[in-house]
Amino acid sequence: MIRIRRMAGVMVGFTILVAALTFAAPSTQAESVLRIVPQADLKILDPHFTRATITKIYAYFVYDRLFEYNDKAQPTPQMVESYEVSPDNMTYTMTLRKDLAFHDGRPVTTDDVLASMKHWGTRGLGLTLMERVKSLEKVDDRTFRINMAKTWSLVLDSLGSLQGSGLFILPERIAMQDPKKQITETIGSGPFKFDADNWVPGNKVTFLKNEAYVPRTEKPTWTAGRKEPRVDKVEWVIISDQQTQLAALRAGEVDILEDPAVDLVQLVAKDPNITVSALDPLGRHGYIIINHLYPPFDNVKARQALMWMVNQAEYMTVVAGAPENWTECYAYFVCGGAYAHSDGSEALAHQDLEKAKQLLKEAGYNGEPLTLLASTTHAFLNSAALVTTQNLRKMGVNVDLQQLDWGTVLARRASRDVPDGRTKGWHMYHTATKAINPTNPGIWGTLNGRCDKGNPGWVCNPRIEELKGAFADATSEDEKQAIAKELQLLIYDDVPFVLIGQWKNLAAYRKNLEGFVLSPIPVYWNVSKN
Amino acid sequence: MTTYVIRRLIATIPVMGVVATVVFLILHLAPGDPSAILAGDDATPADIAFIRDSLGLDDPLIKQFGRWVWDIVRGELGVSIYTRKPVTHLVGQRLEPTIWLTVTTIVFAVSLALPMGVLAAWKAGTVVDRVVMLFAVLGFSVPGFWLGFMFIYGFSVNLGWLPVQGYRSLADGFVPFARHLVLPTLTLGLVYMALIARITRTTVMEVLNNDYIRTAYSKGVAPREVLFKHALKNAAVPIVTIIGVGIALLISGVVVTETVFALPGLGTLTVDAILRRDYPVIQALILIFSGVYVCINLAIDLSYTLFDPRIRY
Repeated sequence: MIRIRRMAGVMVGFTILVAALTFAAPSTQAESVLRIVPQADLKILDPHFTRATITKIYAYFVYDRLFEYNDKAQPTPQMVESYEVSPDNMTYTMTLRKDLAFHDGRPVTTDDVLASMKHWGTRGLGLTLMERVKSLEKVDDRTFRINMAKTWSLVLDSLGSLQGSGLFILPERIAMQDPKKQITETIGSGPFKFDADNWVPGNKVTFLKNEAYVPRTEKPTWTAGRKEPRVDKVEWVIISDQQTQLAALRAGEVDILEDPAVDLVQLVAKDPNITVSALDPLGRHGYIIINHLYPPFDNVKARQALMWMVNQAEYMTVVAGAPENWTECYAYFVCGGAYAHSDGSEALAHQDLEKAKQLLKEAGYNGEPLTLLASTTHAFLNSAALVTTQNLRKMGVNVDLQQLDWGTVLARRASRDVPDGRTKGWHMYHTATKAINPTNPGIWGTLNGRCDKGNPGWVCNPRIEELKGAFADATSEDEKQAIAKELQLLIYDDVPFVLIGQWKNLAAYRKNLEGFVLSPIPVYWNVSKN
Repeated sequence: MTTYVIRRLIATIPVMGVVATVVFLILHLAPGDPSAILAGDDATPADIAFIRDSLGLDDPLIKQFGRWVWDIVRGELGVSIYTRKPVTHLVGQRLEPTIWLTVTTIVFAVSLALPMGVLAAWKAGTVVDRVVMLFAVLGFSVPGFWLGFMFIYGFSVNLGWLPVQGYRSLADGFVPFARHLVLPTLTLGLVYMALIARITRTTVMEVLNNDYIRTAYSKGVAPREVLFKHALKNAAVPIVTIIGVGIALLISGVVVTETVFALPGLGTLTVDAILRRDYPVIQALILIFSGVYVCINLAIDLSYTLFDPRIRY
């Protein structure tokens, strides 16, 4: 009896303790904090070192840029106050705004800009620009010139590009470091400061409002215009489990989910405190990337067979869910983009498995296993691969579906081994990209015909490179449209890779937030909390 | 005893050496390329080669291994390929949540499982025994992540009593610290509790059949004293062994629990590092876990002397 009373006493005490902990009021905070669950975890702080999207999003918080894109995908001055292009398009003279300053208080000068351009210009889009530049010239502390060796119509586009690794302005002493070594010191001139002391990789990233930031006055569109930080702090809360993300949003512990799972986000769509909508006006494109090195896909008929195999509605249903979330899109340069054309898209627009089977046979396919790599890390890519597997099997194809984590897919896709089932070689894999990337054919890296020097898939078609170069050199919009059209026809004829559709990137956020700027890159200036 | 302890500690060195070599080889020979992940999805082969070269991943394996061993000898665990932060710094950031979660789980589980197991053994064959064992079976059978989600859905989302995710340090105040640990502790502790309760019941039942227990009852010793002073103490050796083995199970359970509740502990650091092929971090963490496990084994072995005076080293 005494024992039972003691046990009862312990249980009561435990219950009181739990109740006290449960109902203890959380401390009130005077500062406004925006808590976001980002689409990935931030690992790399150097915006010129990697093309990882999450690093780019981080860079938009911390750094500022010479030019930005408006909602017509046109480069507009951001750090630049004014600029002049010489009549022969060989000289660009730019003057910086007066009130630009780094987070350590130093003013931004021409020296910083030129050093940043050189740092950025060692690879990728920066290298493409710098290969055409004769010299970078300092005129004074706020004015500089880009002297071209040959004309290039994409100079301003590249300086403001949202595609690939863009140019971010670093302090000169940081930009002068070896580009092979990652930058770890995060001093920018952007609307937010990176709180390095409180960074816990894999758990939390914090950005503090830059009180000294002087935004432009124009209305914000995409990444251009007024970048006004309206909260004191932005926290990236890294939650890897998608169920937990949703629970945290419903409980109000976080404010925004940047990339919730398509099947789960519907559970909160009817929550009166939550809005589900696309903050990215363009969305994403998905592709089947094809290995052009080995049979059967070294034969164009086999690649065309894949086009006839595709029914975009099937893919989009598993990738994006309800029809209002996706579009059947046959424009490789993005439906809604300036160079959207659907010419030549008959094969993609009408699934015909019998025709696909016939084409594959004509290409010499004889029943050997075709290796399809699928990423289990990204559920939507895995789902798309399952659709491809099913359709190929209906065509009588022997599919070797290999479901791997994304890191392994990235490693395997770099392999040029013969895909005979015993090596790391492969025939196809699925991937996706932000739809902003293909909007400018001249600088879209995935579309290339550079053979051995190209991206995995190793498309070898010099005509693609010629047309991309011609697009970049074109001096009128009509000329660009004509080239884009010809490029699209070439894509449908030669099939470097297959477009499986375009879908919205839904975000979920609490209804007490306002001021979102729709942009292909998530941006959170102008967002406030009620 | 001191000699024994020193001998055991010295014996860990070759063990750790073998672990270090095996882990290094497995990591570097397994598929995956951190340069490709670092470079980003749209990277060209030139981008990837640039990064691989900058990180020294193109160096011969023996050179990379030598570099790592030299770092360890100097007491350094290397630098993360991704964040460029020292691994010791990353581990230091993540140690506290894992330690506290492990400690609270062990305390919670052991303090409830022992009385439950003893009670079930004492009332073997009765309803009390059946209820306790049903609980133990459920504890084993129910997946930890499901349990975690149910707790979140019930206590956090619907009732709003406890937070969904995250961790607050003790330095931020006892109440927020404790609130964030309640659900993870319950999730992880229930499985552990089930294991200990079952073993306790079995071993106490065996002990209760011994003559000296009958003698104690005959002498008029109170049941509580018979159970806890005589029976449990004599059953302690296998129970303590299971508690020690359970700590190894806890380490794997911690990974799942930390993921569900977004706790910034060593478990999530490990998973994250493995998925990204952050070799220095993975290598260091496995060395740390191996070292911890060796030390726990030693502590368990030494604890036997407390319960059984016949055991001496």
